[in-house]
Amino acid sequence: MKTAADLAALTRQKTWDKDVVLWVGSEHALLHTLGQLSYTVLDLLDLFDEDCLPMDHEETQAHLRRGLRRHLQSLQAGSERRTVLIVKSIGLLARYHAGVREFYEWFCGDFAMVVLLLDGLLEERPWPEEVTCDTDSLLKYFDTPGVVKQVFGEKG
Amino acid sequence: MDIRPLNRIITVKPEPQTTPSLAQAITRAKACETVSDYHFTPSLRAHFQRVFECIVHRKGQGFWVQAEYGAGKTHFLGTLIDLLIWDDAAVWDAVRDAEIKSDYAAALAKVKIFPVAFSLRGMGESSDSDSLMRIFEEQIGESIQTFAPELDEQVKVTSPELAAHWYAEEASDDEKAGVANFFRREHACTPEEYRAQSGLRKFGQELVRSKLPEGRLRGKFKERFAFIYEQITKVGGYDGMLFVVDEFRSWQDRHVAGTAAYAEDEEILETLAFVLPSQHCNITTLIASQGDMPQKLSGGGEGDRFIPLYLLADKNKGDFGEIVGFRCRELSQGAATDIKDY
Repeated sequence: MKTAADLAALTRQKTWDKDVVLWVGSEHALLHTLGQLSYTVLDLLDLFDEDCLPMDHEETQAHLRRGLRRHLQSLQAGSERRTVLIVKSIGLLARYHAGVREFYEWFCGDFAMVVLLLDGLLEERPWPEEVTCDTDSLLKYFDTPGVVKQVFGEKG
Repeated sequence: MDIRPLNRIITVKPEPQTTPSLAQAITRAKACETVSDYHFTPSLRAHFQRVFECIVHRKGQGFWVQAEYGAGKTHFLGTLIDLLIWDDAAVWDAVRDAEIKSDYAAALAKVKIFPVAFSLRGMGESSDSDSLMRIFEEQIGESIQTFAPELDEQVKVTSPELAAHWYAEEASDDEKAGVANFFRREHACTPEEYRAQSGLRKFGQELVRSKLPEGRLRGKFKERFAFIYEQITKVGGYDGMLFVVDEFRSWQDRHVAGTAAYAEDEEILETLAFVLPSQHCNITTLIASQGDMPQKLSGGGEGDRFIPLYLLADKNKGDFGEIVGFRCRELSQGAATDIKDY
């Protein structure tokens, strides 16, 4: 896992190269690392209407991909406006096997990059005895070759 | 001798996008821009001619587009696809190469090709869902929705769709009785009631789970692709299909030689590029990768499964400078003489 300083160096590059990266740490620390760079935030939960939730796994997956694509197509990025998209609630991408392809296809480019925010992994939580929490499973999902390009961590 | 200042000989073009996305490059809205930004060097023109010749003569073939990072694989694929699928004249008007335009604009206008084009970047899965066949099925479905939505209800692609089709069109009375028994036991209702309540897709999934249509779902890659091809060409009136896969390297990195996943990849690609075309299916397949072609797919002297197309390699490496020049600056009138003076 690379450090916050490595991410800061990446953000300072003149252009990016289809960069979808994972940040393991708090949002606060991420924003601090991005400094003055222009960013926009997307919480994947906002793509769902609470009163009209999809019925099953496949419908949820399709809804998530469709909604994400529409949202990404509506975002503007260009040489005049370099933008980092911070994505929250990324557990949904793994839970519904939606992958990260939409980010590569419809947003990333020379002047636009995506940071997937994986927050809360480092916290110790008192789970009930019958619950096992696999804290590595999300990290494994996103760190599979061909998914995100790099993983950065608050704690390095 | 006075020489003209540089800013009167060349004009700097807006900064080009150097990381194009295939999905965006082949939208109708972007097609003209994709094509007009493409510079055909002699070696690249030859690659286009090789692919277009197969398509004009309706001869299915596989091509392995190999190049280093940044050599323009995605732009090559995007331009090629745009010229094959968009029939409005503006796309051909945007071509900056007179030879390609005069040789193929009219000939290709007579060929109706159904495209399935996608990039594998970001499609990795750490689980069992990491299957190339599953991705092809999904992408065929997406292409139908994008390029021929009127076929959506008619073309069966996935196992649940084929199972529902089997029940409606092919099952015997005895088989239907078996299905009725399964739904009575599992859901306490008739198959028709279940389909009305849960929809066709769920109904198909349950049929697959029952194992009753087993053997009738065209489970082998060859049978499945042939069935899809037959439906799309017959129902949709297409002359053939075009499969284009970009960023195959990321997939190759995950599926090492000797694994089951690697064998599946090889079999699927061989089916598309060799087995089906040799049975008169007009399927053209282009796979773009930074990596080498798997040995089995190179033909081994028995006939070419995939024809390699190397972009900007060896003696054509110098093309890169020509392309950068084309993308970055416009020459003013009479610039050639002024450049010579410099």
